[in-house]
Amino acid sequence: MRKVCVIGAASTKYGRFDLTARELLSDACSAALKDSRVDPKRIDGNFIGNAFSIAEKQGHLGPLVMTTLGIPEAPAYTIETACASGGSAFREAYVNIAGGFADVMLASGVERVSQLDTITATSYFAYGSDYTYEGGNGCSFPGLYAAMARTYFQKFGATEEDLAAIAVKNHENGALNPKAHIQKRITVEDVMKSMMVASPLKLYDACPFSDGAAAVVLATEEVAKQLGVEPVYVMGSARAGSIAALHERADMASIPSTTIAGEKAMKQAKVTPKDVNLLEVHDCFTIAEAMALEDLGFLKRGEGAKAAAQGITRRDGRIPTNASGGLKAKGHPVGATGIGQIVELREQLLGKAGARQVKNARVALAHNVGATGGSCAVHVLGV
Amino acid sequence: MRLAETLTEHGLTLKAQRDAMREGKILGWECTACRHRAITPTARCAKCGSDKVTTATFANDGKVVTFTIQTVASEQFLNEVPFAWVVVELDGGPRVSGWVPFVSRPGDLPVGQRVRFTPSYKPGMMFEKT
Repeated sequence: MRKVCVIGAASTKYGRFDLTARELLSDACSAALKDSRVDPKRIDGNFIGNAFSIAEKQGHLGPLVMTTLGIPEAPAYTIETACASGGSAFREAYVNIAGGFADVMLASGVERVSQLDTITATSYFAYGSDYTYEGGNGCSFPGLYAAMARTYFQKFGATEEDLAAIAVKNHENGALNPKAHIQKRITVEDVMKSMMVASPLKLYDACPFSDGAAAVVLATEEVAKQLGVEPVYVMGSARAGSIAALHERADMASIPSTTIAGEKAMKQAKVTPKDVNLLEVHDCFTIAEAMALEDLGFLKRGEGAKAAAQGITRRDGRIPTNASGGLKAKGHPVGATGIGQIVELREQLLGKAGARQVKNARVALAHNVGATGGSCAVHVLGV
Repeated sequence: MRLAETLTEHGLTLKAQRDAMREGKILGWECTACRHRAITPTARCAKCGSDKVTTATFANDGKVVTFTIQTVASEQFLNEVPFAWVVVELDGGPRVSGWVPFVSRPGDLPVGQRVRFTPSYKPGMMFEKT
């Protein structure tokens, strides 16, 4: 296998925009190409994470974007693994280069959902579950994570206030991120007083629906050297799956695919959790961050929920988690989210993250989940 | 092909499963090797991988394992809010998901609550407290 590095990265701001997915994605890809200094003609292809383009009455996004970028001859593919589409797209681009089938690839992601009303958006997100048996029985997407939260509470005695502290921490980070959808600090009280969406989860336990796009350029070490750009190495890359329907899993307070992908990626990278200096984990809901830290082996079972309140996961804590603001505050443009995590970690590893810079960032981990873990992608990056 | 055998030769298409539910019967799949049961289509057992899978009739009674109260719902359930979405451990297995109408507070539906599948003209698998 060849060494692969990230040589360029860019992201739009996340939020609500009167722009189509085509425009958002083209902006991000174009900026990432510029950042990498690579001649666009050298791009061997583009893997695009996207889940809901059909909501804009447009499928087959790839050729639209490649045409906009002036390289219509380069192949592009839409990858859909629900909210893990971005991480999965990154993985496929990585595999192509590591395996010798490509030298320079784009991996990107985009989502545009703000044109949808809340009911329609709620339905679309529920389609990512095993809809026949979950959404079809009335469960919304927040409802699934709410069921996980209730199971977790019963098992470990954690509280709604513990989860609220995770939201507060991520908003504190998001307030320092100019790309974040929500750049506003909140208090535990704000979370506790926010509207109940699916008990025990409230509005402020949930990430927003965001529009946005992110893109990275991956290349061989050789290309990075030719271009004279500072490489960030992909040290480990893995994907895994879990039983789609939550109710069929033995344990509803954890996500098996996170554990499997995490172990594989860290094994390939030859690191253990104590070697990792910072993480971006998939906190679509506060409970998800708690479970991720446990499933990835950074904390013992039952410790994840209290980690934010204890300061462990703050930027200056022992396990800095979601310095970007996470999905919770930075936002969650579904197909772009996994790529956005890589964009953030590259900035952190190159020491360019400004006010939210984590000290001594040498090894970082990105964790991206599709639905309730039917799909998961984990990547380890390093300089 | 195994999937075709399991889903059609045994007569259990998703449509057949749905039709049976209308008549108050919960049909699903069971692994004859490890006895793992599932309400979702199974060609090979998700637990042990065996292809010795057969169809089975599950119990209509069970207990609530976890739940949430849906105050925001998708199109199909717009007129039902608030209600509880539940994971029910049927007696003898497996775990299935369903919903319980007219539940608005978590205290109304403690974990462990006994419930029974009740066929209805409403969408999905509706349960009632027993």
